[in-house]
Amino acid sequence: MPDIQPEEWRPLHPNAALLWRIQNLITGLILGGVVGGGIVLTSWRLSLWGALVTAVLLFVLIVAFFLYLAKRSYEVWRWALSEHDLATASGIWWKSRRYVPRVRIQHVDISAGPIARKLGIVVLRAYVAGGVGAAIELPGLTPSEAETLRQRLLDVSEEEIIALDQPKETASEPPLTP
Amino acid sequence: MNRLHPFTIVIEFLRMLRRLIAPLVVFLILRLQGGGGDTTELLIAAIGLLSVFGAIAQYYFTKYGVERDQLVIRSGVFVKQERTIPLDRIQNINLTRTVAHRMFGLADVQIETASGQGAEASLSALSFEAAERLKSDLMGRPASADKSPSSVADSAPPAVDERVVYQASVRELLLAGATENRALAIALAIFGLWATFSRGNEAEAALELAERSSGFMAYLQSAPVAIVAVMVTLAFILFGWAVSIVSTFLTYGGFILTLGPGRLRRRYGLLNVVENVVPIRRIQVVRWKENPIQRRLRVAKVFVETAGGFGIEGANNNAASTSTSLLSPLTSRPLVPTLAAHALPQLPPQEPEFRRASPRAVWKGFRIGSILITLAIVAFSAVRGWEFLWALPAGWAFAYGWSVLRYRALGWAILGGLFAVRGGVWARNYAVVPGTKVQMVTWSQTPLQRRLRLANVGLVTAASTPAGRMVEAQDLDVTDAKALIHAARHAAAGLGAARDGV
Repeated sequence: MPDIQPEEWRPLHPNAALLWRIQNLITGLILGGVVGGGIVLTSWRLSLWGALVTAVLLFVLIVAFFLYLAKRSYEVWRWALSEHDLATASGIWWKSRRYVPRVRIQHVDISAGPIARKLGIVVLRAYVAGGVGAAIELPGLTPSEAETLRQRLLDVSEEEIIALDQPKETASEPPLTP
Repeated sequence: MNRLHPFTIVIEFLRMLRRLIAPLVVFLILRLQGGGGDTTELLIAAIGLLSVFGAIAQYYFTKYGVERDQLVIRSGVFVKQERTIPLDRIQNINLTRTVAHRMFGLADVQIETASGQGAEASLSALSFEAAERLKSDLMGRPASADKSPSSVADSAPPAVDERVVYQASVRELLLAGATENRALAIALAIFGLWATFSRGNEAEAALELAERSSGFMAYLQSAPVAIVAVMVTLAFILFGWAVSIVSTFLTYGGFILTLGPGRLRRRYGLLNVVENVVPIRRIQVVRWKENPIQRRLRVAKVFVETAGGFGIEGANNNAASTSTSLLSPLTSRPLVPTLAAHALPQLPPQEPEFRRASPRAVWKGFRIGSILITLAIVAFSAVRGWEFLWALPAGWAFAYGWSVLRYRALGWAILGGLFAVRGGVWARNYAVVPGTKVQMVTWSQTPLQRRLRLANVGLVTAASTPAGRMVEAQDLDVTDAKALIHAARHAAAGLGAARDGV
């Protein structure tokens, strides 16, 4: 089985970066507000000016950091569809990759939150056996890309799936999830 | 249509009582402290009466029978429910007999289909004979000739198409009880509770206890308080140990594992008797575990993890309990691979040859451990006094030792189409996953791991418990990790076993 070549890894749709920036902006504003507000409220010992300046500085830093996170996350995010599996690669500092064999995919969901819809992107999730959340997620494709991918993923032939279940002594029982 | 056994009422009543133990205890405590008053007693009486009525209603309104190749169960007092299960969909029938069941010659029957959501149908309780008859009706196997439920074997002998592959010996059960601190925690908790409730510190409490044992009084009154406290603590530890051994015998006594076509049947228990079948195709992972004492004695516990469905550990399962099924409470180490091979037919029945993680894992572990310990000691010193900084070198030595132990336990192996992983610092854990059960393969690297060219490779299965869901090989050299990922992707995609290293 050939390894996934570097050039096969594709990025998400650019609007995903925008989506994450917006989401992180909101989170950053809230967190920055809480921290800044906390500083102002609790440092009655320092001068009010000092507290305000620190609070504003922290607020700006936090928001900037979250925006940077969004940008960087998008830049490192990759996915690839090989002959046998669907793979994702992500993580700025903590690198992580997931490979899901195509024959294991049970069903595929496509969804989009309100902001994503405005930006014209969707999230595709491919589920495997094994309880809640056993899935691989591509959080930023165009609707048509996602639909095409979904069809390709679900197009794995029935014979391939049944042939997987070994040992053969169980062939008389109805095929089912492992 | 058949009815449940009338004694079901007693069983259900006891079960409801058990569920209500918590509020009952609360009421009792309130009562003892003088609060509550008559209302508490009324409430307790009301709860008791409700339980009785509930039990009677459940008995009266439940009927079951086999009609036209289907099992039909009708139940429900207000909301009537009829459950129909085609006979050919039934995969397993599990029998559970608690002490109460055995006293009255009854059994709980749980019926499982291929959907793997736990018991699709549960009949509680039938007479033992009726349960065996139902079993044979549903599975199409001849019922046991031995119909008396009070015989020593306490249940049907294995069906003709099954053979015994493992039976726990007395020595093994003894060792299991002695080396697993099953009840030590309970004993210590009791001690803790009691010490808290007797106002004053443990030494005074210990003295109180000592005073009550008359024979020692004169001696103890002159002995230093510390010695008494030590004696009492030792007594509790020994007590906990004894309880652990007895409880293991009661829970797992008579453990017997039989192998049939496509299934493993387990039967165990002296107090609560459990009979439970694990379909081999449902098995996702085989694990075994040995704590340091067990390693010295060359014994280990063996489990399987299944997808959905259940493995009954102890008989108190209504909600699907863990899907971890014990294959052996404790067996000799050389026999473990043979046992595991019954659960995973493609596994060669010999000890896997593990390959090591990267030696740089020692440095990684030390880095993390030493940072944490340094932070802890510095924080502690800042609060309690800077002289505690002397503990730093000792802390670092500890971190290093721990990291070395962890490294030595780490291991991985590719066994044709299966994958084995080993780990643990204190207790060693082993896990084997067939490639065909791998749902997802993961690769992860923390920043430190990236600098050291290490990676973790994870194999995700459909098992329902956290221990079974992800089997992870940690701190591999990146070249090895890439090889493992490659082999795992290959096997998980159903392409057959990758050649080792390719």
